[in-house]
Amino acid sequence: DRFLPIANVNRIMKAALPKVGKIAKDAKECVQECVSEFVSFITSEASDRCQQEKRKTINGEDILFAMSSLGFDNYIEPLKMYLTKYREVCFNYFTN
Amino acid sequence: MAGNEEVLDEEKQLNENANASIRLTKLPQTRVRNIIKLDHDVTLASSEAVYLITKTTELFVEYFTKEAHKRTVEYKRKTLQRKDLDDAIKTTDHFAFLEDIPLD
Repeated sequence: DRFLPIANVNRIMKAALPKVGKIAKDAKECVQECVSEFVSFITSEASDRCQQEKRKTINGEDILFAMSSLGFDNYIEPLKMYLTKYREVCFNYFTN
Repeated sequence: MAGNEEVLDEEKQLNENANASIRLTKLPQTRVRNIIKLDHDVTLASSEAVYLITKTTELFVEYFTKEAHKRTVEYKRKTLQRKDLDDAIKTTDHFAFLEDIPLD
């Protein structure tokens, strides 16, 4: 399926809004579709760079680079923190 | 050999436990990977790449929702509607990539 589960999308939307207030069903569905577009958008940018550098695997750096190229510079610091955390978790998992 | 089978079972159990107890993302990474694979220019994406795309997508949902909600508030409504999202797409550079895609 090319969409992410609407329940998960809805949960993130609700958390972003004040507790009072609802989200129309067609708005949830719209965000669900837009989110898949976003994934494809980032992937495409990252993939272009990979191809230019004749690499076959998209890596974390490519994603950070893509975010910068596409104007989402303010995401880079949070993403770097997430990546550090992710590497920690993987390291702990494999060494314990 | 019997020993090897035991090791494989244990490894499988460890993987299942890990997947159950470590939930690093609010959106399922496996589904995100499926969407990535739809791009035929992509050969492979590392697990770090899939993880970061998933996290950035979560941030995007939050951002998109909050931007749309500004319109909801502006029009003194309590319910976030499709038109609020459409308006955010038309007026925010970050969402320009969403223009002209056939939604529903």
